[in-house]
Amino acid sequence: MVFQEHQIRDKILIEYKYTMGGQSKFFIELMNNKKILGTKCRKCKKVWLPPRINCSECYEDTDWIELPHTGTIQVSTIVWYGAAAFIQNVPYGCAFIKLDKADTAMFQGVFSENLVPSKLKKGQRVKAVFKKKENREGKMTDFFFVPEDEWERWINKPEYEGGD
Amino acid sequence: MDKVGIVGYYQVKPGLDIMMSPYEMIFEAVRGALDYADLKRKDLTTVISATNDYYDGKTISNCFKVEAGGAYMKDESKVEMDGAHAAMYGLFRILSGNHKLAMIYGISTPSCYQYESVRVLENDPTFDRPINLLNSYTSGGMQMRAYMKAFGISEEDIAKVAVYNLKNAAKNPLALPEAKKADITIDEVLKSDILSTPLRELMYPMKCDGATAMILAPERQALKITDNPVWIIGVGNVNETYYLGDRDLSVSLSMEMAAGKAYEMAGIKDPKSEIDVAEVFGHTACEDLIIAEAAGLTDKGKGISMVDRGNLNPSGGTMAGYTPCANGLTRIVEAAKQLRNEAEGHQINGAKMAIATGQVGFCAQNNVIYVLERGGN
Repeated sequence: MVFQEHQIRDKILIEYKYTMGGQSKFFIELMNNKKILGTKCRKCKKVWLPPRINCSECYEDTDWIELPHTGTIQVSTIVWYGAAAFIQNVPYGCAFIKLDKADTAMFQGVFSENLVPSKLKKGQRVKAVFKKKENREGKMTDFFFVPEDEWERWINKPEYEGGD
Repeated sequence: MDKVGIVGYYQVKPGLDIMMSPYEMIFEAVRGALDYADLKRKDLTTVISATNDYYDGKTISNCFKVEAGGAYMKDESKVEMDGAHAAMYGLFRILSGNHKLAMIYGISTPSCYQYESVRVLENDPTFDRPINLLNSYTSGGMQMRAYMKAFGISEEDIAKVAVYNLKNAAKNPLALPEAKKADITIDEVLKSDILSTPLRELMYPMKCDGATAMILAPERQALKITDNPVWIIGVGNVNETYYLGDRDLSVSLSMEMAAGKAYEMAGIKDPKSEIDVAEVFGHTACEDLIIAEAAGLTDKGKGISMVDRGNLNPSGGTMAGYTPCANGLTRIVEAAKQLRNEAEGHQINGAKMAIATGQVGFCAQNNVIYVLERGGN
């Protein structure tokens, strides 16, 4: 930011933590076992990802369900412009991905050796790539997606691995 | 619903950095609205503001604004974010029968904080924020791509909407000076920088400092204040799921439902023919179309026809200057100006019925719509 002499400057730094309660299982299974878990409504059987502990439609409980690591891009974008909070990532691709068996799409980064819109088209098949176990910390940054035809090459890189 | 009248308003002229304190801006807006309606601070019975704690760098962001906003020793409350939602809160207070004059204002000064960075804090901190890829550019880019794909719309079409808005801004005396582009071409828009494919810089409104105020009164009171109030005859508000992956981004289901409620309340059977002018709050040139379509003003995918007709956002909409927390309120005020024949330089002739919309969240998660009718002669 540009400051003038008379302007009062401020910077706020506060630590937070977010207790995930019942949702913690998603992050624990991601970190320990490279599993991507969704939740399935006991009543309407809708499969939610990101997982909801209760079905937003039926307002009933859900059960955990393991989802495959493959899915389809619903909509994507490639970002070429940054603000301070995310400029270090630019350029990057990201998309809403509907995993096979899921009914809702999850937002996640899509990496590609050739970052062009045609690689991230609607309907493009993608597959999850994970960080190596020692680098996984139970966060969404533990994995990302790549176009299915690039998957073998990505998981052969020293810092990444595929799921089971 | 009993009629509630819009009896006064004022917009502070927006600027990229207007070098006024927020308190000066609020005073100018609130005092300006009171003067317009020939009212005094003592006449106000309630004051509702729209601000954002993170934008203001403090929690309970209304507590310092009480005095500047004319709320000192009065009934006062705040809505987080958009002024159109504060207007709804004010409307409910009037309809409760307990208040006879409500001041509504919205203000933010993005020259003082990094707007795009703060918007990242809107992200859910567990799934979306850690990967740090979802922001106002990406949501706008993906929404535009989804819309283009669903309805066979081209980048040129969206550029045409941007050109239309920026040219309208040139006719609006209260538009951001930098947004007034009377000679802009589709080609220039298509050659502007890519923010997030396919969204380009000139399809994305400039963020600027601004404040807007509006006064509401119950029917009887409104007619004592002015011979030609603007009546709020319908309102609808629907919120949808936070996760964008649950939604079809090419449409706005929440606006569709909100509009249905508002039109039913207002007795509007065919919005396409009955609504003369619309001021909609879109976060991008593309979102203007999605919202106008969801509000039933055209068929889905045909929003561009409103640009040809010229009755969508005659003020230039948010492309004429995006003033966070004031945007939705400015849309209501601009629509009211059309109905009072006061839209200097951008008046739609003979406008009798209008809609105005507000929103909050990525890809307009929460939508509110007002149906406004010209009162008096």
